[in-house]
Order: sequence, then C-alpha cells, then structure tokens
Amino acid sequence: MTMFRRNGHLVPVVLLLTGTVGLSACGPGEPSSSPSVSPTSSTPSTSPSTRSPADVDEERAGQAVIELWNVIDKVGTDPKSKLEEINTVARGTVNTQWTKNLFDRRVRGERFVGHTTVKVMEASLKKAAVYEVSACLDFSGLNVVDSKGKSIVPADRQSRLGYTYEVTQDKKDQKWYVTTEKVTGPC
Amino acid sequence: MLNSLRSVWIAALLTTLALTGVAVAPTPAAAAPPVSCPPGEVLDPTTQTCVISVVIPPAPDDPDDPAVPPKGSDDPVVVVKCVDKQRENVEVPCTSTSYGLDAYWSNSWNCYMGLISPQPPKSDPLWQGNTDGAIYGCLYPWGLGGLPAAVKMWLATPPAGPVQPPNPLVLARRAIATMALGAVEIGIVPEPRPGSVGIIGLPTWMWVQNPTQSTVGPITRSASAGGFTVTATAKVTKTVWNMGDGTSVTCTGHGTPYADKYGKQSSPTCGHTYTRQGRYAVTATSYWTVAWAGIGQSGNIPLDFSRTTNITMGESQVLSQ
Repeated sequence: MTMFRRNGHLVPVVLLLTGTVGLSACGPGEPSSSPSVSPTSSTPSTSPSTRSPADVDEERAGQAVIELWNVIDKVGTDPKSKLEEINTVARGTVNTQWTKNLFDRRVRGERFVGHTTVKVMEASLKKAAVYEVSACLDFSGLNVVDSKGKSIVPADRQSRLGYTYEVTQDKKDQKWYVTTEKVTGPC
Repeated sequence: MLNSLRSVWIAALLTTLALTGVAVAPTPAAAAPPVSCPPGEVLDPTTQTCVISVVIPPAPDDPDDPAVPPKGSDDPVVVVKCVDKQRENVEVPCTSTSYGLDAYWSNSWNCYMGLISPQPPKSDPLWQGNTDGAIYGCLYPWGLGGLPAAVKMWLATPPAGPVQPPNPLVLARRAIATMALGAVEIGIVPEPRPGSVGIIGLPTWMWVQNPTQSTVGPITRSASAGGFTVTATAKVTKTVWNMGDGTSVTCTGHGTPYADKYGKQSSPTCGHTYTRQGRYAVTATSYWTVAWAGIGQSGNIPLDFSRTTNITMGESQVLSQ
C-alpha cells in the first residue's frame, strides 16, 4: 500500500513513481492500488468489494500517520489553531512530544510554511488493533521560519527521513491513533 | 523489501528528474545532521534538531498518590531553581495564580502547569480515552508579543518540578528531633525524698544531676533532604529554678552538687534560702538555644524543658534547759 499527501510541485514526479512502487510492491497477479494525490484525501481507491476488514484496518492505520502530519502541519502553520487538535490523531508519547514541540515553537513565534509529504511504505499488523507503519517523510516542501520570517531550517537538513510508527485502534470510538514514533534514517 | 522499494523509488526519482529536466540539489549526506539524538532527547524532524524528550511517567498504582509531593510537603525534591529555557534560563517565580490557574512552574515543560478546573468530561478528546490521570493546563506567560501561550493536555501523573527547595527550618527541626532533648535531672538539697526535711535559714543547693548531651548539650546533629543539609547545635544557656515560694533563681551553669564537706555553706553557683517552713514544688526549667545553618540560611530556635520535684522545709527546734 502506498499513500501520499500534499505533493505540491512534486505531484508529477510522485505520480510517475507511484506506479513504479505499486508494481514493485505487489507480486504478479496481486492487485495494485492507485493512491490518490489530492492534498485533502489520500485514501487509496481500491474497490470496496475486494477489501477485507484487515485491508481496511491496514489502510486506516496508514491514513492515521498521514492525518498526524496533516495536523502537525496545520498547527505548525497557523498560530491561531488549537494545539489540542493533536488529540484527534495521536496519543501517548507521540501526542505528548508533539504537543510540546509545537507549543515550544509557538512560544518562540516559529511557524511552518508549506507542507510535509508523507509516503506510507508499509503497514503490518503487530498485534490485535495495533499496526506498525513505516513511512517516508519528505520535508523538502516544508520550511520553518522564526518570528521575523527567517528560515531556521539547517542547510544540511535531510530532505527525507524514514519513520516507524505504531498505530493503535481505540476500542470505543474505533478510530486509529498514532501512539509511538521512531526515526529509522534517511529514506 | 523496504530497501528495494527505496532503491527503486530513488532510481525512479533520479530518472524522472533527469527526463523532466528538474534540477534538485543532491542531499549532502556527509554534512547531514545526525538522525539520532543523545539520551533524553528526541529528533524534531521538521528542523532535524534534537529536543528534550518528554517522558510520560506511568500512572501510579494509587491515582490519589501523586508522584510529586504536594505543596507544603516536608519531603521536597531537588528543584533548585525555576528557569525559563526559552529566555536564556532566566529565573521565574515557581508558582503562579495568573489567568485563573493555580499553577507551578515545570522546568521540563517550561510552563506553568495546573489542573484544569472543572475537568472536562471523560468523553472529551483531551482525555485520549484515559480514565485515570487528569487534564492539565500548560501556560507560558511570556509568549510572542507578550501574549500568553497555553495548551491543555492529559497527563497520568502531575508533572515534576513544582516544589521549592526544602525549607531549612523544617530540616533544622528534624535535626533537633534526633537529639532527644529533655529536661534536666534535678539535684537538690534538701533531698526530695520522704523523711528529708531542710532547715529554713540554711542554704538550699540546686544543680543538674548527671548532665548529658541531651539534658544540657552541647549536641550537634544534621538533617538532609533532596541533597540539602542543615546542621543544628543545641545547648542550654540557663536554668531557671522556680523555688515554689514565689522566688526564681537563674543559674547559668549546671550548679554545684552538694557534699557533706560543704556543711552550712551556700552553693557557690546556684542556691537559695527558704525563710518559711512548708512543702515546696521546685521546678527547674532549662532554656536552650539551637543554632542552625544550611541552604544559605541560619537562625536560632529557642526551646525549654521543665521538671518538678518536691522538698520539705522545717523549722529548727532548739532545746535548752
């Protein structure tokens, strides 16, 4: 499964790559999904009739990571947005850490300009209601500026970083939340 | 599989860019910042800087037993100063009641933390599905443009850092408690026993019987908490004898124990002469001064202890023929 979000000027490139990855990820005879490239919707358009509940869960677990970065970008970009919005997509250490990261940036008057692109590489069931999701984050479309509008992004920032996330489904509301994150290195 | 995917992805990217003529700067791998951070820190990928890792302490077995002692506790933790890391570690008040939040400064969160009151319903997303813990407000009063920044969050336990350094007076009192100070043991002639009767007009001797560190000092003890120590030294400065006949005798020393060899002499250090016969309750009150010092402060604590005994004074009958 492969998903994208917020592709910006990379859209044509990513579109080309999508096919490549899709073919590579799936074995002969396996259906390949066609990811959406809409900035607001990144759900793969696999036919519902062919999707098992496990497929749906897998997709939603990956989608949760994308939603996490949607919220991080939104809260980081708009200083008037509510930091508490992180509660709708993340729990546990991810929630706490990003609350602090974004709060500290807001205190310093720093904000995001642009967006992060998230490419979900793989989602695998770790245990009941818990998926491990590998993703490649592309920060080339994201700038971080200080209160005077000056970029504070190091010149040598890695443009892409791999992360492994744990995504857990809440028993009550059935929603998937990102609960842990671990950087794996350049991707 | 991911590696192969990544290779394909990068190869395809480079091919595509070459075909489309899009120029991109190569990632300077050699100069790239590390993707790992030292212990206690975590990577913020947006600027790829290491930031302080927020540790979520596990919920205590007893939710009513917070990890941090409540304010006013005698068991303080080591938090020497409340400092604002956003403003070059400038020292800030450790507590705040601004903005309706009864809050304390958290060095780890770098904001004033306080319980939100009233607490939102458990159905609120703030609870993150938890039923224990509580919702706290994190308030930073010195945000951009002088405006406060605030966020609400769920925490299993109260965030650390609310407690001031230990009160040295509290530690001084702890040190004193280990000294087992007490009243003097009374030495007096006439002796306080049945059948012993003193003669009015003759000297009464008073002294401290069997003086020890705990009854007259000096005695030194220390008490520590959270890495801080206070040392206290206690000693008796005077003993006031209330003789039971309306008079008081102040003796700065321990007095002189009476011996038969002194005959009818008066005590050279601590004595009295009764003029009327009767039974008298004699009370010895020892006055202590405890000098303490520690945590950059010092002071004196006065103490006193009393003990009472009873003596009988009679009139001498002279028989003559």
